[in-house]
Amino acid sequence: MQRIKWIIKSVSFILIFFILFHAATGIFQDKTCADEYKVFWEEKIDNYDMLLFGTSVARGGVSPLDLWHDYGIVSYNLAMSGQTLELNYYNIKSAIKFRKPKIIVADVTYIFNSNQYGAEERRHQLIDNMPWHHGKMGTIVSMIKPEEWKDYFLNLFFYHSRWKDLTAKDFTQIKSLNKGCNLASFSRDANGNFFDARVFFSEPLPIIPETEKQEIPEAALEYVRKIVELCKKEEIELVFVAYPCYAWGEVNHGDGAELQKMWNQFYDVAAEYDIKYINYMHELDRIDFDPCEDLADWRHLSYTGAEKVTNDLGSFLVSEYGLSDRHGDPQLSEWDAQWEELEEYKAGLGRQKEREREKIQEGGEG
Amino acid sequence: MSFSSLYFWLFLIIVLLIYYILPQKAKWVELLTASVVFYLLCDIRACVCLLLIALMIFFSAKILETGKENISSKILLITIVFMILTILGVFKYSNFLIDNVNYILAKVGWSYHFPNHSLLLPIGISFYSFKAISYILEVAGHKRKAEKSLGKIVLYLAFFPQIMAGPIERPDHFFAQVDGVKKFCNVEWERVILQTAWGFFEKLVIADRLGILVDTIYGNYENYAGWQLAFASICYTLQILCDFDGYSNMAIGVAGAFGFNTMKNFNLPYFSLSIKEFWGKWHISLSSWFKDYLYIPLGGNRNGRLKKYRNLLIVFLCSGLWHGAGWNFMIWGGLHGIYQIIGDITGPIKKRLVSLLHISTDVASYKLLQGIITFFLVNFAWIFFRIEDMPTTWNIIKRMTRNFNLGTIFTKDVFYSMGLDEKDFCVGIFALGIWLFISLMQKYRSNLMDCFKRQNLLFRWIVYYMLIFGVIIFGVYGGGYSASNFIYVSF
Repeated sequence: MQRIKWIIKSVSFILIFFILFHAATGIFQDKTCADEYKVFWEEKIDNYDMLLFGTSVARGGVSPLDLWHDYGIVSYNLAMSGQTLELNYYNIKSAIKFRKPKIIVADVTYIFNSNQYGAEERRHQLIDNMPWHHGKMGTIVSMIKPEEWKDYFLNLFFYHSRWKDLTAKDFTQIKSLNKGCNLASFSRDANGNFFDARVFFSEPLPIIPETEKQEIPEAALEYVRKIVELCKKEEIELVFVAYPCYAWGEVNHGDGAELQKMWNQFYDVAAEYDIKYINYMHELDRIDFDPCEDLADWRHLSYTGAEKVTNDLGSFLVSEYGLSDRHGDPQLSEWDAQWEELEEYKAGLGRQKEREREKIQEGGEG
Repeated sequence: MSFSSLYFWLFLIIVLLIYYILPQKAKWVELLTASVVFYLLCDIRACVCLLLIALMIFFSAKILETGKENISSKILLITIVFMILTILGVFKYSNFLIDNVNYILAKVGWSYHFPNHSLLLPIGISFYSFKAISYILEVAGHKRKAEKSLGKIVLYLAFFPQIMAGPIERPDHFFAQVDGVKKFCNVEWERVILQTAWGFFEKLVIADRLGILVDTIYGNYENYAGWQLAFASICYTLQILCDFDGYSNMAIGVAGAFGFNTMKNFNLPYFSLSIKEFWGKWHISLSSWFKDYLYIPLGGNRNGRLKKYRNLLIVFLCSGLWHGAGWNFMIWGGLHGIYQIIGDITGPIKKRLVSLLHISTDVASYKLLQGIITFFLVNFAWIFFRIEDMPTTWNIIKRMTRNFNLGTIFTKDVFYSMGLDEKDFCVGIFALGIWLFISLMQKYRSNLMDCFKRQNLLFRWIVYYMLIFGVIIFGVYGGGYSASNFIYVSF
């Protein structure tokens, strides 16, 4: 009897420890992109038309609820900030184990990156938000060095120092307003000042002609090949997209020319593997792109820019793959209401943007 | 593989599971295997050194046990002790010696420069070489029998919870427990959890946090006022205790999980009222080792005052040298020796003064004053222990006295400019408050653990979880997450 009591006590102690450990991990884990990403694993839809992967540019550049409203396309945006092509590959692999879409739209923004797996925090961002039963274990084993496994299996030990940075957001239930997409009106610089694109983009974006090309790093190409092979194996259509931007950090030589040249080079890669590729840097006039309004900063699209890209991408997907309008599907009955909520949010973004501009003008006049 | 490594805990769980599955007779063999594997994982080359010392004391103890106390056994004993000290000396002190010889040669104008060796100090050698000496001296003095099993000798030296930083267990106490009955249900698990977690709290939450502040101030002492340097010295005084005591508590806790009762190594030393009392409470396993195997064999206090003072100085200089190969450690040890000698000389004068002035010594205020004086004497000596080069130590002491500049204490955020930001500083102060509260409880309630165990289960478990998660969250460890890398500037 004494022994049974002892065993019950020991098991209870360990069990409570792990429950508390799990709860603490949820609180301390960084929430960048987590809200939108995690909700995907809780969605009950099992037949997506399209899943979108990529960097923050893609994350704020394609709005699934607008695709739904305008074309009846059922999609989810799984892009996360700073995701290299390697990370994209593992993200796709894990996601399609859970929900297999008809089409995958991948992002070539980080094609210049030759650092495998990118920054440690970005790896955490992706892996920590994956559910255990959808390839998280495999992703850790494939991507992470054994000596770092502990930071992924028991990631409270990695995030514990965040106790200083905790905010109310860390304690609230996660939700996604726009199926993974995070629309922006404008950005702020490190001092919190409003980034007014009109100040910076008074002239059209410099466009590098398609004929000017630059070699893509092999590390990135290797994962392009892997993504292509994976999609072919799973019989999923694949589209690569280069989003409009002004310049990009590591290859930012004045006007982002190197990046544009790599995007030009990607036409050859797409042709080689027989995949679709849209380079929006050469479609700006067609989609009526205005950098002053449609860019939130040097790299990212504003919500108006996202509307233009989303609209064009939706039209492309419908015409190219014959996607049907799924309005009326009982599984998706809440999506219209969610779109209306998004519209209100966008209107709010617009008002906020105008207020900031007025402040700048008043300051200037003063 | 330190206690704060997750791999150590994985290793420990596996070893513990096997330990309690195995029959009684095989338990020590498993513990020996685990200790050797642990040491191999830490330092593969150092194993040779450990094995050599184990073989030396194993065979010599056999001879010394059977032989009479004659010249040849004395020669054997001296040879073995000398060889152990030589091994320790080669690794730990030879470069120090070479540096000093080179310095003297340069001073006398000789240009030859002896090269330093690049041998790495084997982990735990200071601890297990002293354990080996105590074993051989005990056997030679016929205070205990020689161990029949070489394996048990190796286990005594390499017992993995104690090999890195002690305590320096005595052979009698250890060997008596090796063959004792060990049952999973008999282990005081609550004590094990509490003591280990408390050790982690002292080490990771307090000591390592204070370490940031101390390193920052001492590293840029020119930029800090005298009071800040004094503040750093107090922080270091607390850091070193929390560090050593934390490690000892972890070692005692982990050894306890295997059913081993380990000697207490620290007993609230900063509450001592004299330096003599301090040394009865600080690093007890080492100070009692020096007392038993050096101070008393030298004659202790039996042959007059002068010889007593000589013995005290020798012991404390050796103690300083044991802590590290450097003049700063010798000075630190020497200072403690001098403190004790002055205390002994002035003792009668102090008594006479107290009597003449009708000072009551049995009141709290007098004891508090004694405690404060002792604390600051200890604190002053730690400055030499902490800073290796003498000119820097001298500059810091000069700045402390001549440039105290207390007015700057009122400068905004002055406490957050010493390596710890506001939140870390507050956590450090709060943790020190808890530590002080627990220390006072230990002082005034002789058996705090038994008192705690009488509390309701709910209360006890809340304390355990708070302590464990307090360490996990507020501990200073790991490369960890960098918020700046996560903050997404544009959004």
